[in-house]
Amino acid sequence: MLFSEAINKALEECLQDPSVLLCGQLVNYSHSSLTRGLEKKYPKQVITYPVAENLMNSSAMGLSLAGKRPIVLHERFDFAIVGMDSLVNHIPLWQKKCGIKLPLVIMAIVGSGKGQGPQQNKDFTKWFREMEGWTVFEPKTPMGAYLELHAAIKGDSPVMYVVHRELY
Amino acid sequence: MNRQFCERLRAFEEKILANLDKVKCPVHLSLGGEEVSAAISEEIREEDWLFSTHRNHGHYLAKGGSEDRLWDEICGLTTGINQGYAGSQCFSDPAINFHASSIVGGSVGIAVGAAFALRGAGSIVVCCLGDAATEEGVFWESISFASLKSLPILFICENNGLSINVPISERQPNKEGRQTSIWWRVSAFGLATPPDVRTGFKIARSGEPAFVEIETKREGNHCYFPKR
Repeated sequence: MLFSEAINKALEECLQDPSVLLCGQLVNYSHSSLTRGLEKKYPKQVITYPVAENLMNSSAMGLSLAGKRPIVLHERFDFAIVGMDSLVNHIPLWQKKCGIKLPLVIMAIVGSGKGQGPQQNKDFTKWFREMEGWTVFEPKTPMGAYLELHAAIKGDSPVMYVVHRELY
Repeated sequence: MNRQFCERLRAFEEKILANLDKVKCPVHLSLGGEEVSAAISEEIREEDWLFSTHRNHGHYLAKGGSEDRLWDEICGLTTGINQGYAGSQCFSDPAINFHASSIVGGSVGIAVGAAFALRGAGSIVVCCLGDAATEEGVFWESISFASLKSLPILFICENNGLSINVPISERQPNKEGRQTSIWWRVSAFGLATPPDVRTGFKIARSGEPAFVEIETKREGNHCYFPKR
């Protein structure tokens, strides 16, 4: 099983729970091997978002508060950072503040390959490891990617799930 | 107008002003905005959600929040809504679907996410914000998405014309000295922009987003601090 196939398989299995939603800009267009085919099987749970990272991240928190289990896919970690307010000022603070469950996954892909340039290949994993309120998963093997994604989606707390594209 | 609610809210805020030696956090009072909160209190239901700002006491009482637990939160007591951890400006009471954020515009995108989850469920989201929140990018991202997905959400903008002490004329576009209204710009995104809270609730309950702008006049300072 390839790394990207492991992620696709975990997503497909988790989407059997109708409260799980996969949100992102290209999730509906079989653009990436991570999400390929999911939109056909779960058309109501795979949701195209506008290019609005602040909204993507903050709305994930609202979806979670109201009973959903959102996964927000950012094609580059650099893009997730555009929507930083909720990642710093809201999502990681809420459980400590009011003791609720807040299941949500931010899936951030670290770019790789020639020509990505300085804006599409950065890895911010360390920031989130140091921030109270986040669980960080950074799988290194296909089996690790599969198991950790299951744990992230089925858990009750915010998870930053980092995907290194070079492992695909 | 629910005069009783307005009087109760005013009395609560005046009690804070008279007891700043007991208060343990910065407080932004709802004085001058009582009628908006009173209108919300008449329309909002238990199963609805309310997202608010740093100036949230009126909204919290409108949602059916506990005056005593709010008082204790403001006084930093463990019997407060969040055990005195959050203070006045960013507490959450999940038991009544109430969440406030003290980041300007911070709760708008969250509110839209909740409305997305509630689509077709029968309940609605009320998102209270001030005029300065409409200067944030996430506000425009949010109303665009609410319109695109036909979300059951009512945005209520209390426009007091001030961001702390900076007048809106220095912050938002105005031509030939005439301020363009916020609702007018929002209407370009396809949201209904009724003039009153009650109509706004009606539209949101029909499953469509609405934006209501109400002019208010803030009484007193932007914020009061504990007396040490």
